[in-house]
Amino acid sequence: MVLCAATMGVPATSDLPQLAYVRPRTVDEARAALAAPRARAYAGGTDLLPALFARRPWTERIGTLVDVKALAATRGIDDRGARLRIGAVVTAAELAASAVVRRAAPVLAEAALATASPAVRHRGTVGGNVVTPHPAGDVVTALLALDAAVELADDDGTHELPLAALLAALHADTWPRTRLLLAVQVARRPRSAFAKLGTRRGFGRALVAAAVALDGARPTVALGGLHGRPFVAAAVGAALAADAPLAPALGAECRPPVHDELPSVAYRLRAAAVVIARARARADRA
Amino acid sequence: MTATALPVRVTVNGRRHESTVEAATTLVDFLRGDLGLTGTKVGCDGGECGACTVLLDGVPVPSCLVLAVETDGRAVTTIEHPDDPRLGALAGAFVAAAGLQCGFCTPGMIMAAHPLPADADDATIRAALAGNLCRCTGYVKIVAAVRRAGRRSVGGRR
Repeated sequence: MVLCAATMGVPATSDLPQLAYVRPRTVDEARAALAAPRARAYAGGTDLLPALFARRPWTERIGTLVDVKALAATRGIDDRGARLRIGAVVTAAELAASAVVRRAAPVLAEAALATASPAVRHRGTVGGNVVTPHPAGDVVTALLALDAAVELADDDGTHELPLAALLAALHADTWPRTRLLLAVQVARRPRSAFAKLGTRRGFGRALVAAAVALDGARPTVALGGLHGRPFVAAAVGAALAADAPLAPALGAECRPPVHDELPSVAYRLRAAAVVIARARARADRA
Repeated sequence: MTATALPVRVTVNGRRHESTVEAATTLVDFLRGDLGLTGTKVGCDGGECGACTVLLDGVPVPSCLVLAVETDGRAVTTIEHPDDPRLGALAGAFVAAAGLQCGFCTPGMIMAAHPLPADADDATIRAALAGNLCRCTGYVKIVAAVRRAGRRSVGGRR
């Protein structure tokens, strides 16, 4: 174990491959840097660095880290009335602490606070949570419930795309290397809440997480932790609106979880109904 | 310009350091290997254990998941800081409250607790320490140590 090496006084244990590093100041500089062979955007590093330590096969293509944290276009939280704009490198800690987010989209502040641990939350970013193909991205789950769109910079300029469309493109691995995620935009939903069942409070991967946002009386439900990536569960939302039992919709919309070391599908679908009801009740009270 | 060896000017525990680091050097390896500050421990290399927690501009971060080059122009505080009163109060309280056994997790625990207000309640303390694992014992005495450090610093100011 690494622990033994550290206690024996071996100085270097965090073994990274040879890397170059560049910290562009503008979006154009960043996109030029990303056009180089083996370049990869780097923000919080909380998923990328452990993957590099572990020499995951997909990291073999990475030779240069393009640090995108100095770009003005990727920073800050901006209240635009009906929508909020959140820069891609805003950290989970910044989201959780933001008075604007807590007031206008509490589901997002709660999801950020449920992510990882306090120290990791000071590093991990909104954009990283979007582009990392993890089934239990808490922040992504909340973003989906908030009808999020992403702001992208690529060869055609700056444009917007629904978050769900971006997640599908990422899944299909059709992401052009010089396309940069600048920000996410979310709907103002003061009546919204997040609930999660995890394995450990400080770092628990969600076995199931639910984000519920009410637009008037209409609930949007997004689920995480169950399969593939977090997704909008439209039939579950409709069942919730109708005060109908959730189990049939959950069974129809949730394909079996792929991680076989986790608790059974039957358990997690039952837990999902409980977690959704908790989030709904808190959203109602907000 | 892209480079694998880069200059870094960083203030560590109040002292300015200028050196050249490989881009692939993590902050914890820079602290332990280049500066000889081995108080910061490496537990998991994934941000899950909290042992390597240090303060970057006053904020706790996992130093195994920060590149040394990213600290250019910034301030890092580790368990070795010689004259940080909050650190002194926490270290003394961990000893007095028997908040450690093997001590491996202790520097990370103390750095994670560092930003807490002196009057933090137990729930707040536990939330701040939620990312730090202790494999020797439990967390009751660790929480008591942080509470005790707060009481002492509150008392000291009055």
